[in-house]
Amino acid sequence: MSFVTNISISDVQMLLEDLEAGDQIAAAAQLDRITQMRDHELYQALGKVTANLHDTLNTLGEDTILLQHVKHDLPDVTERLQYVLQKTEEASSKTLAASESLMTKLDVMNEKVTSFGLPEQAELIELIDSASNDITNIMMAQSFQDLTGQVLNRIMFVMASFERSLLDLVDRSGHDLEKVPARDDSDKRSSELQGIGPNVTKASQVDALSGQEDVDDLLSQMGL
Amino acid sequence: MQINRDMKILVVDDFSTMRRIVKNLLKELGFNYFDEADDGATAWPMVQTGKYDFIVSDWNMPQMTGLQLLKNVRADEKLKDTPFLLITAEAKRSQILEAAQAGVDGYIVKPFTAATLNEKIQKIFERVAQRSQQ
Repeated sequence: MSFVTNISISDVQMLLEDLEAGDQIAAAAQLDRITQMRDHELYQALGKVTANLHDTLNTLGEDTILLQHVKHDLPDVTERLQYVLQKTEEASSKTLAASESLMTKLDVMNEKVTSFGLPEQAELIELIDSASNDITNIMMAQSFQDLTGQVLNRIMFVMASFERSLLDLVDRSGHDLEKVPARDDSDKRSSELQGIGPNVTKASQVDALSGQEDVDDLLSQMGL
Repeated sequence: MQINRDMKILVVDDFSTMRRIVKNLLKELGFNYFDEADDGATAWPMVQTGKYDFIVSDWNMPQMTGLQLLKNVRADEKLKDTPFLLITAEAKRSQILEAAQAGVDGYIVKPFTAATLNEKIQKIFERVAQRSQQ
């Protein structure tokens, strides 16, 4: 949107005439008229944008998908990413611990093979070296955790700020998230049939069993 | 009990890492014959050939779930007795009841251990042996 074209030549000519006539007061008044006209149009345009935004926000009924997402899904995202971060870290450190333990054992084997002076000594040492190489590869592969972890942290940061902005927007539009209804049970059942993955959020842990023992108990009640 | 280690096993999971882990564990337990499918939908035509003695499946997969695959198997006159083990992260009480009602033979929740897998397989084939004696 441009306001420049709305300054007419005649307005400017009048300004010039006032200046040439040395009438500072009339020139100032004419300059004010020109800028006021521009301000007025600017406000009108802003008013239109605001009205548009307001209309859009008003069409957000309490059952729209956006509000459902804001209420039910967004708060979970960070919790889910946190779970990913934690699980990958646990897996990496388990792998590293096992690798370290294997390395130590290989060192002991190496010593024993050498001190026993077995006829197959050269062959065995070669095997131990090769196994130790494999373990180094396993260890190095765990460095992915550093990279993916950094990316996940960044995403969590962005999501948190996105969530705040959306909540603010919903609030300003006069909607009350408390009034957004809970998801209905048929949705819940069909997603359970499809499979919902690990129950990583506090909300999803309702009705979830905590591990194999609980599952076995439940199944044995069913005669399995 | 002696389990036939030459049985043909179909491993169904959409994550190749998990298929590999399950296959390696089964290998450790002495099994030798595996095929893989990355979804219930790809598994179902394979199962229909009738060549599998045992199906190990995930639940949550994009096209066809393991639960649906199980239901398909149980609804098929020729296949309905195929032992079926679910290995899944699904752990809601209602889901486990659903799987039991659909006729699952074993249910393992992820993350799981090699010992759990061994125990469930033992249990499944003990029951299969009892069933065939009756």
